[in-house]
Amino acid sequence: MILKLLGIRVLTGLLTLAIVSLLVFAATEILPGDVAEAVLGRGATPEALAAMRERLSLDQPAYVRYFEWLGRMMNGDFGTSTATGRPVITLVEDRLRNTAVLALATALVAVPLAFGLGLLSAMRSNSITDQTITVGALVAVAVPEFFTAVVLIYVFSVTLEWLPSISMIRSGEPILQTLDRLLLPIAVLTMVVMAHTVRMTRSTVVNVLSSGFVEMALLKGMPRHRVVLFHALPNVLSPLFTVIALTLAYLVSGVVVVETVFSYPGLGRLMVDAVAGRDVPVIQACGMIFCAAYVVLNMTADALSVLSNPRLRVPK
Amino acid sequence: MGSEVDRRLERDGVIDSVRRGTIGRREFLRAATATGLTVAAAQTLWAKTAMAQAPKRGGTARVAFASTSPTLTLDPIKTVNIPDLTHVRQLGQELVALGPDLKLEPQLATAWEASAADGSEWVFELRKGVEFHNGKPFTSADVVYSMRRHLTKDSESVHKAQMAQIDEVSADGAHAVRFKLKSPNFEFPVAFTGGRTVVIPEGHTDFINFVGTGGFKLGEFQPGVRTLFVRHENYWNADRVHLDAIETFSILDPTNRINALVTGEADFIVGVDLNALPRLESAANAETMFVRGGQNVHMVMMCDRAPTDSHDFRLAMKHLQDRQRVVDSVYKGYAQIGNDYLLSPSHNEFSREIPVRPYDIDKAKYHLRQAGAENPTIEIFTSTAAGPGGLEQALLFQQTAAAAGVTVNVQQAPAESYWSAIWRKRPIHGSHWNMRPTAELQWSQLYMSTAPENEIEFRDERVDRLVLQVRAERDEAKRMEIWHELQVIAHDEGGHLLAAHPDYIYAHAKTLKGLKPYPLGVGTSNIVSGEDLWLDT
Repeated sequence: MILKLLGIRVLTGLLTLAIVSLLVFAATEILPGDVAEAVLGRGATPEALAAMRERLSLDQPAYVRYFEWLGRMMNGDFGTSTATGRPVITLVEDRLRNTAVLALATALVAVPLAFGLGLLSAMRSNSITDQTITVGALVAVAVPEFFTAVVLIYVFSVTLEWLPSISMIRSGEPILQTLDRLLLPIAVLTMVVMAHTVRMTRSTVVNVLSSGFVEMALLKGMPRHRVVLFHALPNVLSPLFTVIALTLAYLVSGVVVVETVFSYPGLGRLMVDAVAGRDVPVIQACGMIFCAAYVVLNMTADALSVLSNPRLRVPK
Repeated sequence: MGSEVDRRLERDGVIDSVRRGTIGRREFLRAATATGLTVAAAQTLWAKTAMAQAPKRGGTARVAFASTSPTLTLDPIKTVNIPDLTHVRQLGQELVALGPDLKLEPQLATAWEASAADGSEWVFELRKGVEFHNGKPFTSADVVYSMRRHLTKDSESVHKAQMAQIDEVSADGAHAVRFKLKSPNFEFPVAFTGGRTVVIPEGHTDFINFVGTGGFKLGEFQPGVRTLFVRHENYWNADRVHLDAIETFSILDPTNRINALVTGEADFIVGVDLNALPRLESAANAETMFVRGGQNVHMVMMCDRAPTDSHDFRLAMKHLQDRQRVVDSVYKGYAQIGNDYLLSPSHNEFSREIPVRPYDIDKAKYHLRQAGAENPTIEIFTSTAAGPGGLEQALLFQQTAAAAGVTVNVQQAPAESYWSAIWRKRPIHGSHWNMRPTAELQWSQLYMSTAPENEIEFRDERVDRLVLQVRAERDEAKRMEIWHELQVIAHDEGGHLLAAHPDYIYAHAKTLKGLKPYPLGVGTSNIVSGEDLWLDT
C-alpha cells in the first residue's frame, strides 16, 4: 500500500520535471537577446555575431534544440557553457555544494530553534512570551533580508570585528574551515525562514492541546510536559516535515540576495550571472536543479508524513 | 624641532608621497629644506622614510572588483568585459605597454621603428630570454600566430577594426616581426596596448588554461567566483615581482566592498562611491586613491536623426550644461572639466587652446531659435549602466536647461539591456567610455566615418582626411596642429555633450605598497600586472 502510494508520487514527480524542462527551455527561448550579443557586448560587429551564432548552432529551430538538450540531459550531460566554454557540470558542482552546505546548516539551526520557540509559544499561549515570539518572528520575516544582512555585517564585522564581512569559499576548501564565514549568512537566513515554522508549530500544538484526547490525558493526571511531548507532538510531525521540505527548497533556490551581499558563491548567483550573460545551458541546468530539489524534497516530506502518520496510509 | 618638521611634512603630504613612491629624493629634499631643515638632516629623514620601504617579498594581494563578468573568457581577442580584460592582462603581455605618463614602454618588444620612410612598414625587435608559463621560449612565431588570429576573415576579434590596417605580418628571424600596413601610420604601435593583442604561444587554443608571459600565471580559475594568480618564477622582469600571488574576486555591493577593505578581507577595491569617502577616511587601515584620467561619462546626441540632427540644436544643448556644477556637485570636485569631445586634459594630444564652453542661456536660446525649435521637450535616456554619475548629470541638466525653456524628461532604462536597447538607438542618451590612450585610437574608434563605435553618427570627410593625414605625418609639431583642428571640429560640430571626465576612485589597505596612478584606469595599472606591488605586513 505504502509502496503504491510512493510509486505514484515518484511518477508524478517525474512528470512535473518533464513539464518544467519544457517551461525552462521556453523561458530561455524568449529571453531577449542571445548569447552572441551578450558575449560580444558593446563591441559586437554583425560578422562576429554571425560567426558566433553559427558556431553555437543557434540557427537551428527551437524544437530540434529542445529534444537534443533533453536527450543529452537524460544521459547526465548538461552541455557546455556558451559563455565560458567549460562543461556546465564543473561550473555547477562547486556552487551546488556551497548552496547545499548553506541550506543544510541553516536548516540545522533554524528548524530546531523555530520548533522549540513554537512549542514554547503554544504551551504558554497568549502569554507575554507567546506574543513576543510571534511578533518577533513576524518582524524578522518582514524585514528585507538585504537590510538584515547589512545590519549584521555592520554590528558583527565592522564594529565588533568578530566575523568576516564576505563569505567567499575557495574551491575544495574543507567545510569546517569555512564555518566562521558561514555564520552571518546562516543568521540572516534563519531569521527569514523561521517565522513559518514557529507559527505552524504553535497553531498545530494549540489545536491538538484543545482536543478531546489531550483533555482526557490531563484529567487522568498526566503531567503537562508528558502530554505535550508524547501526545501532542506526534501530531505535529507530519506538517512539520512539509514545512522543513519547503524551507530547504527555498534555501536551495531562493537565496540569491544573501549570496550577493556576502559574495557567497552559490547556485542562485550562478543562475543570475548566467541570465545576464545569456548562458543558456547554465540557466537550464540551474532551473532543472532547482525544480528537482523541490520535487525530491516534497516527495521525501510526503513519504515521511505517511510513515509518521498511520491515518494517511489508508485511502479515504 | 625635528618632530615638528616631521609633522609639517606629514601634514603637507610629503612623507606620504615618499611612502607611495610618487615623489623622488630630489623633490623630497626640496620640500624638507623649505621647512627649515638642513640638507644633512633632510637626507637622514629621506633615508628613514624611503629606504625603510624596501619592498618585502611574499604574500597574497587580494583585489575586489565591482562587477562579475557573466561571460568570462580568457581568449584575448574576444575580451570585452573589464574582469575578462584584466584577467588576460594579468597573465599575458603585449609588444608594448603604456606607462603612467601614457608614453610607450618596451614590453615583449625591446625596440620598434618604421622601416619604411612613410610609416607604412614597421619592425619590432623582440625581447630575448622570455619564457611562457608552460616553459616554451617566446619567439617571433608566437607573435605572428597571435596577430593573425585577428586578421582571419571569420575572426571573432573585438579588435578587428584596429588590426584591419595590417596588410601582412611576418617573422623577420626568430626575434623580430615585420608589419606591412595598408596605409601609413606613425602611431601604429599603440594598437598593441589594448589588451587584445596579448601574445600566446604559437598554436595555442586552450583558453581555459591560459598561457602567457606575464609575471603571474594562472593558479586557479573559478569563473564568476575568484581567480588566483601565482608568481611566474622564470619571468623576464622578475626583479619587479615581489608578491607570491594575487587573488581577484568580485563584491557587487559597493558598501560591502568597503566593508571588506575595512575589515581586512581585501587589499584593493575597485569602484568607490563618492558617498563612501567619509567612511574610508575614518578607517585606520585604508587609504583612498584618486586617479585623474580620461574617463568619459557623457550624453550622446545622434547626428542622423531629429531633433539632434540640427547643428544649432546640438549647440544649444551644449550651452545648457553647467560644467563646473557637474564637477562640483555630481563628482564633488573629483573630475576634470569636459569640453564636448572625447579627449581629456590627461591626453598628450589635448589642445589647451579651445576655451571651455560656458553655461550660457542666451546663446542656447539663440541656437534654439536658429534651429526652429523654441521651448522644446526632449527625452534623455540614461541608466546606472551609463557610467558613474551619468544619471545625476542628466538630472542636473534637467534643471539647468529649464532656464532656456527646455523641458527635459529623464528616462531611466534597465541596466542589463541598456547597451543593446538604448545605446545608439535614442536621439539623446547617456554613454560611458574608459579612456583610450591616444587621440588616434579615440578618433579611429569613435569619430571617423568607418569608426565602429561612432555612437554620435557624425560622419565628415574632413575628419577622415585629417586622421589619415596625421597618421602619415612624421613631424610631432605638425601632428599636434592637425590634432588641434580635429578637436575643434569635434568640439563645435560633434554630438557629444561631455561635461566632465570623472576621476577613477579606488581604495586600498595601507599595507599594500607600490601602487602607481595610471590614467587609463585599473585595467592597465600595476594592480593588474602585479609589478612593483608588495605587502608591508
